Amino acid sequence: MSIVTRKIQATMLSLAIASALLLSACSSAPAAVEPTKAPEVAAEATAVPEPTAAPEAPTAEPTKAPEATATTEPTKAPEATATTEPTKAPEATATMAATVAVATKAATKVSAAAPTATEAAAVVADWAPRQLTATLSGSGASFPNPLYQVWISVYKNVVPGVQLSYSSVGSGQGKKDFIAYLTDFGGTDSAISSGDVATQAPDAMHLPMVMGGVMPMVNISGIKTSLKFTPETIAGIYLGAITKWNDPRIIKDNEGVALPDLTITPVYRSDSSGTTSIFTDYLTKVSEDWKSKVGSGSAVSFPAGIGASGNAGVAATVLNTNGAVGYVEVGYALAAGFPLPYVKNAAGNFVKPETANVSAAANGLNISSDPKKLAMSITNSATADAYPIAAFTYVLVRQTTYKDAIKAQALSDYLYWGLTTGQGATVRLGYAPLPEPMRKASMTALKTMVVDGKSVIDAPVK
Amino acid sequence: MRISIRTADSDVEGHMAQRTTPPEWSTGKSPLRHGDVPFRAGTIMLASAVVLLVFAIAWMLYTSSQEARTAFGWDLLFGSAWNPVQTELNPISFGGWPAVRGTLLSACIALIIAAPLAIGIGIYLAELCPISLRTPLSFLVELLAAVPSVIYGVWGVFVFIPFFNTAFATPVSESIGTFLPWFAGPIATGRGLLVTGVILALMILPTIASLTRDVLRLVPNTQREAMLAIGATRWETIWLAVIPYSRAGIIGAIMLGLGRALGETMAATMLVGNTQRISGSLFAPATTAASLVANELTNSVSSLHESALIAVAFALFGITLFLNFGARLLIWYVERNTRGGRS
Repeated sequence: MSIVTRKIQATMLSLAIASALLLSACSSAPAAVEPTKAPEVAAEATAVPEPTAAPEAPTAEPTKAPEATATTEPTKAPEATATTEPTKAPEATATMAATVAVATKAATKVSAAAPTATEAAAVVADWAPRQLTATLSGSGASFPNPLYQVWISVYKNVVPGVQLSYSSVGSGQGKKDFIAYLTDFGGTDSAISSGDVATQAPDAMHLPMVMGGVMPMVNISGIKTSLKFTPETIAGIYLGAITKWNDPRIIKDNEGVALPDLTITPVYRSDSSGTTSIFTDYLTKVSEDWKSKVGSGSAVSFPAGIGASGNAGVAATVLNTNGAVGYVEVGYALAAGFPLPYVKNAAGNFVKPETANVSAAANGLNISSDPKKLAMSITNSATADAYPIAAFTYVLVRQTTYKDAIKAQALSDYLYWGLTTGQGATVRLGYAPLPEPMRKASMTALKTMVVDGKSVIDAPVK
Repeated sequence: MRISIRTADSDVEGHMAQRTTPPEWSTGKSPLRHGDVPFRAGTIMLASAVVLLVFAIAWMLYTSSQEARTAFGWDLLFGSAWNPVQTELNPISFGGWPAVRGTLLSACIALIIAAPLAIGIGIYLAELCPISLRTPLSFLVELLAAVPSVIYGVWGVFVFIPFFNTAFATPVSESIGTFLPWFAGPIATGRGLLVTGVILALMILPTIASLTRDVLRLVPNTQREAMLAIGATRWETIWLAVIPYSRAGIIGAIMLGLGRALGETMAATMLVGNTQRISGSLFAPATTAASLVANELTNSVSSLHESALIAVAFALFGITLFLNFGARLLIWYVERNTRGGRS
């Protein structure tokens, strides 16, 4: 691949990411100005008459416009976001999904392969978020940020009175902000340490919202096929023990691929990040050498390679460097048009980080009945078809110490919506929806939220 | 050009000559004088606010880095292992030397490249440039200073590094690099201190160039005229009469550039490779203090980690302060020795 092509590819990647972000920003703008117009736009696009007539609609509850239609006709309005047809959604998701689909041809493939069971379960017919007025702010992990921004821009159309904001500042800062009462909710990829929970946030709950996979993204000029990795080769590369692509240990798993005599340049995250936590947590579990020399954490001392800032930075560096390999969240590799690699899991199978396989990593988990103990590591799962480098990302909420009942109601509605309708948007953005048991556990935990001893949300767990 | 300035000078002199009686404001009899006290107090307050701010920042850096300083002491500055996570073989340690070394080296490289170029640009703009070109050229040079650092970073990553790799790094590492470890290969990604230094040089170039131009414009024309009168060429005039006269100012300009190079974060992060290992080669990835702090502070692993990062920031603050102080001393020394007149 010539430098020029690589340059163009890299520019396209950054453009794709930038346009996705811009679009999410732009699509939320009209909604902010005239929130009531939104469903009409969606309806125009799909020729579904019901939601347009909101105020004068002959439905049972004319005051609750989009939700009312949703109750009588489960396929329409905002809930449609979750179902398989992206065009029916309010315009924000539709555009977003379209952008991602255009930018990443592979993404559509993944969503086609996605299980429909979760998406079907996502629509809760007899529940709709209450029309409250509140301002909610959150901060934290950058890993789920693209998804949260889409949720927020869509939710603006569902409940115009709730002003949501989420700043992507990193898991560590998100936890600190949450503990210091600077935010209403936090976003994090790693649990608050048990000591901090006991002393500083005794009622904090980690609610799993969505799952994601981290994958090695490879750039070897001339090779476009999916490479196969074993835990040993990944650890060897990042430990600096395997330095050439034609190392026998790599060739052994990739018969038939003409791997060149090229130096491997491992690329890692220079900023401390949840993605690094997930990746190093996995390597610590599968490699004794890694465990004793490097360990796991959001920033570790990598023995080999170079650092780049952010998922996008790693993706761009890999694109620019022949022979580079970098670990990124799956969505970023998809956006760059890279093939998904195979990674050998604990059961000995080579699996790709496709949605179903990432979700499978959470199968067979022993879910605690304590709503405060939902955070757990799921890397190197023993399930046969599980992708081994996967993780939950959590929203931090307070179980009992919210003061403002309206705020708590609005927050719990939003999170409940995210756990139901919102799950449908996950696949298109490169995430995986929560498997049923975990999703229900998360909803059950959400329902334990109280203000002054009174429950703030009454919704079915399904 | 010279004529116009001479007219300006004589104009000022003529103006001064006309004033036989001192102006009203200078006699102290103006009723406005009573405004002096509050005005003076106001400006003192504003000036001391700046001083206070510097002390407040230093105090914050000092207290917040207490935990790491008691745990590691001077190792924070001179230790070379940076390992935020405890493992069996590698205990937690925070040695800032790779970062401090990277900062100093990249800034040095930037200065070595930028200072001669920028002074050349400044001399051309102030002394040799046709009037019609001077304004647009000066504007463009200043525009270069207004480009945000992230754009230099992006340009560096996508355009400069690929070019630098094929045109400079690879041939140099294969020839000179075989016996001089500073330029040894391999060139994997091209990110390293040398590339960072070159981009930093581009960033500080306009700062030094425009300040040098301003300083040279301030040299009195008599200085040039005297030189030309004894038969000196243009070059001799500039080299022997103009530059020595403005040496202190040029050193000041270079120091301002150095300050920017030391503290540059965004472009450095994108280009330096961000690795805490020390390598003998300037082509190998490294790190700088500013990029280390920016990268790891927001999401630090433990309070000790955070404290160590603040200690690195404190070290950077100290280096900048120390260099500025050194620059003052140098300027003072140069000025004292110039006063005698070397012309």
